[in-house]
Formats: sequence, structure tokens, C-alpha cells
Amino acid sequence: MTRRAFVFIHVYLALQIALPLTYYFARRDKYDERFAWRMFSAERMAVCRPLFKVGDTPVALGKEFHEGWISVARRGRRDVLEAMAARLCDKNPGQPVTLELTCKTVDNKVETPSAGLWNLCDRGHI
Amino acid sequence: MLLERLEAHPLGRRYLRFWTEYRVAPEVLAVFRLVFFGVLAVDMWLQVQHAPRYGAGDFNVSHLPALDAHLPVLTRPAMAFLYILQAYLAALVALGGGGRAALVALASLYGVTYFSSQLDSYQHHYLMFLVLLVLCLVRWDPEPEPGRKGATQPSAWPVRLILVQISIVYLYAAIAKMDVLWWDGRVMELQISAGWARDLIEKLGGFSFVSKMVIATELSLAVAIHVRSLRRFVAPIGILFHTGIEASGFQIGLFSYFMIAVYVLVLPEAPLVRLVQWVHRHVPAIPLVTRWAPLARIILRASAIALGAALVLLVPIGAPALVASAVILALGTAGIYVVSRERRDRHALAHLGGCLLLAFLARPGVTDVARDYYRFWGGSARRLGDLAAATEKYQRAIELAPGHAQSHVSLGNLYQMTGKSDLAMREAERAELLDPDGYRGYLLEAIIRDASGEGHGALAAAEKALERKPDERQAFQIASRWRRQLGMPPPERPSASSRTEQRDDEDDE
Repeated sequence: MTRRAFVFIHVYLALQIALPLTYYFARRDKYDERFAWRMFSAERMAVCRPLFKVGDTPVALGKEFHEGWISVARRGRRDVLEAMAARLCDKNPGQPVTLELTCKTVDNKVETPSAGLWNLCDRGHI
Repeated sequence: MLLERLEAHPLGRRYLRFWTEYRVAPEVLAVFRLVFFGVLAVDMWLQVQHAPRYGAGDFNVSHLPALDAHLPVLTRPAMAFLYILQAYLAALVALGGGGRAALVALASLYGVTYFSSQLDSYQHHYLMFLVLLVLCLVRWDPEPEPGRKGATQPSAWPVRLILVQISIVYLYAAIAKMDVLWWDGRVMELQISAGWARDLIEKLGGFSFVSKMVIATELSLAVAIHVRSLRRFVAPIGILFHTGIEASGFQIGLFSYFMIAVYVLVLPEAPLVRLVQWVHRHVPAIPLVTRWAPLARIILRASAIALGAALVLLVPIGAPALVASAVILALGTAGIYVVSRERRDRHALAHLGGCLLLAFLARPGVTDVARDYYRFWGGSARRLGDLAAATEKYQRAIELAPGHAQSHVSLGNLYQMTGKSDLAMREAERAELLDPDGYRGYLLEAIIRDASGEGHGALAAAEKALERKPDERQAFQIASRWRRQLGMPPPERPSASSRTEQRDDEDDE
């Protein structure tokens, strides 16, 4: 085996062992299970309900975003919800955008990752 | 330096041997390549139908959001084109054409399409990217050095690395299930939809027991996949495990098929080697034209390349297929010069075979991808308010699959929204004719008649829809209203059903 192959194998393995660990130790969003090999997990079965408001008016997400993105938002993925908020902020300059996000887990508990208390245009993240 | 230190220590030597002494018979690699890349070609073609969601409404979040501001958003035509190209490259590699260059191109394009958007969050697509990356390093036709008696095949450490990657996946998948909700079977109970699978699980000891068995199987496979003496057990268990997952109704694309393809690598070698050698003995060698004059061979190769590219023109999805055809012509021609001289005939035939597969898969009777490509495009355009474009796309979907009732309903709804109620009624009638047991055609008829004030007609159609789907809310509302207005008793209330919250619009992906 060449030295180059040896290095490749071990860099590759280090990355593949470390990346899933970030889900457990460093990731801020428990519903973002990408790169963590959490197929069929309990988190994947949670159903979230994102309610964006521009000012006091609820946003009809279906008219703003493709259904594919709404499906991802219903899984509670923050990256996507924050990007949606940024889009709404761009489209509605000067108006506050809030997000009320409630998620129902497999054991019927209701979690509220975002209570819609702050303007996402100012804060940027949930 | 480190390598020498490892060599000096008995444990280190053993560890190095884990990588360096791993061998795979070329015949096994050939079967794996055919199966794995064959499945990948089909998977890439199936992705074409999802292309319309990319770039819709100019919104995208990639898997690497830090780069979002710097990268262009890949839109529908680009994604459709890239998926077709990947389907071609995968089929080309499956059949032994293109050489390493085709594999590197495939892995790169796969990475671009996967990482460009979180719309594709299938973990198995990420796994496929990693496997493709490592497969670029495999020696596909390792031949013993000539003249060396008893020479063995070179080390297949990339294949070993793929198996280690699979172990990592199993291990973390098991860790993800170390959760009381999984442990007691509640998660699995929600995930399994097939009735027979639920009955079988109950007979085997219930969801809690089977959930624990799944974790135990994943952990066992993670280890046993590397133990040569366990091979004869590992492959059947792994294949059975993934076949069971597939049959249980999980929505996981072709993941099970990919995993089964990977298990080809751990099947007992001897029978596979004998099988491949038997095929080689009984099927005429691929370069059938060996005895022909050199000029005839060049003409035949050129014809195969040109015919293949022309076949891609049969893929009925418009501009992306046209561009793909031109690029495939260029790639097929370039491939002739990329592969070694003795592999040129095989490359030309693999190119033709790959294009044939693509044209075959694109036929409306074989897969619904082309029809759904236009349906999903139409659905996306409708939701984003472009009704003219949506109408045009649904019309195209109906041209491709005139017997698909849902497309007629969707087109009829659009006609109704744009005030063309005669055309809408025509589509409703066609949907009723095509799917007399479905409720959607009758619901559309009820909506049209309701809007035009035809009370008796609207009521009759709404009641037909309710006969077919008793919890259909809109049909219930129409029936209630007209019964009240016509002095009739109200209809029976629809029972609360878990399905009522589900969306019924099939054009939503």
C-alpha cells in the first residue's frame, strides 16, 4: 500500500467517524439528521407546523415556496426555515417576520422550537 | 515513517494486512459493477421527475449553506439534464465502458446535484456519493503481472474501505435507535405501512421485539461483514434484511437495492466466479467484429456512438434531453480515445447499451417519469400562480399518458380556475371514465356544477364522490348545501379519519 493510499484511508475514516458525532455533540438542530446516518429515527417521525407571519399576517407558504421546501420545513429543519425567513424579509422590507414552530413528536409531545417572539429579520436565526 | 513503525509492531502489521491483503476476484467486481451501476442508472433516471422542484420560485438551500451566496441555483432544466447524463454514465460504467474517466465524471456530477440542494436529503444518496468517490480508486480489471507464476490480484483496499463505510453506517444507524421510543417499538409501528408486514411482526413477537432485533442485526452486520469465515451467513442475512425493509413499505427510494448490490461484494466468491466464467464461455466475446477489417470496425463503432446519442432524443422531456443527447454524443466519442485500444469496441457497445436503457426507461409504458416530470412542473407552476404554464404542462402530461385519470383532474381544475368550465367538464368526464372507482373525477364534476348553479347535478356528483371517499370534505360541503337548498335531509357526517389531514393532490411531491 502506498503512503498516499494510507493517508487517504485514514483521513476519510476520521471524517466519516467524526461527522455523525457532530449531530450528538455539536449540532444545534436535532431535526437536522443529515450526514449522521439516523435513518428511521424517532426525530424523523416528528411533524412540525411552521407558521410564518409578516407583521400580523400569516404567510401562505404554498404561494411562496415549492411544496418540496414546505415538506422539509415540516420536518423542522432550521437551515431551511431560516432561509425562508430571510426570503420573506427580503420580499417585505421594513416589516417584521416571525416564526411560530410547533413540533409533535412520536410520543405525542408538543415542542415549540420557536415561539414567534422575535423578528427574524433582525436576529437572522431561530 | 508511520507505515514503517506499524510494520515493526505485530498488531500494526495485522492492521496493515487488514487493508493490504484484501482481495476481490475480478469476476465478483464485474458482477458488482453491473448490479450497482445498473441500479444507479435507474435511480438517476427516476430523479428526473423531481427536477421541476429545483429552483422553483428562485429559492434554494444547499447542503453547504455557507456557499449559497456564491453558487448558482441549479434549476429544473439543468437538473433534468444532469440526471439524464448521470443515468447514461452509470449505465456506461455498468456495462464496462468509459473507463475511470467516466466514473470520475459520474462521481463529480453526483456530488454537484446532491450537495446543491437540501431538497434531496435522502441519506442513501449521500452514501452513494461516498461510495462513488471511493469506487473511483478501485482497479476494475486487476490482472496478475504477466510471467509471474502464481501471481495474485493486487490489493482491493478501496473495496475494503467501502465495506468499512457500510459498517460505520450500520453502527450509527443502530446508535440512532438507542432511544426508548425505538426500543419499545412505537417508532417502527408508525413506519411500517404494509399490512402483511405488520401481521408478520405481531406473529414474530411484536414491534418492541422486532425493533430490538433490527438493532441487533445492524450491529451484527457491522462487524460480521469483515469476517471472511462469516461471509456465507452475512450476505444472505444482509440481503434478507434489506429485502424486508423494501417490502415493508418504507419510502426510501432504491436504498435497499443499493445495499443488496453492495452485498454482492461479500457473497461467497467461488460460485460467482464460476458463473461469470460460464457466461464468458457461452456468450460470444463482445468484440464480435474482431475479424473484420479495421475500417469496418471504425464505422461500426461510430455507428454505435451515433445511434446511441440518437436514441436519447426519444426521451420525451424536451430541451434537457436534446442537450443531453448532444453531450452524450461528445462523451461517447471522447470515450473511444480515453479507453485503451483493446477496450474501444466494448466502450462503443456499452455506450449503445446505456443509451438503449435510457430510451427504454423513458418509455411511458415502462416508467412514469416523463409524465410526472410534466405533472410536477405543472403543479409547481400552479401553486406559484403561473396558470398558463401549468395548463400547458398538464396538457403535455396527458399527451404522454392519456390514460392517467389524475392528470385529467388536475387539468380540469385548472380549466375551472380560468373560467373554461366546458373544458373542465370534459376532463372530469374523462377522469370518471378512466377511473370509475376514484372520487376525484366526480368531485371535479361536483365543483363545476356547483359553480354553475346546477343543484341536482352537483348533488349527484358530490354523492358519487362521497360513495367513493366518505370523508371527502369538499364533496360533503357541496352535498350538504344543495340538500339544504333542495329541501332534502342532510347527508351523513363523514367519520373522522386519520387520512383526512393528508393532502390529496397527487401533484404535490
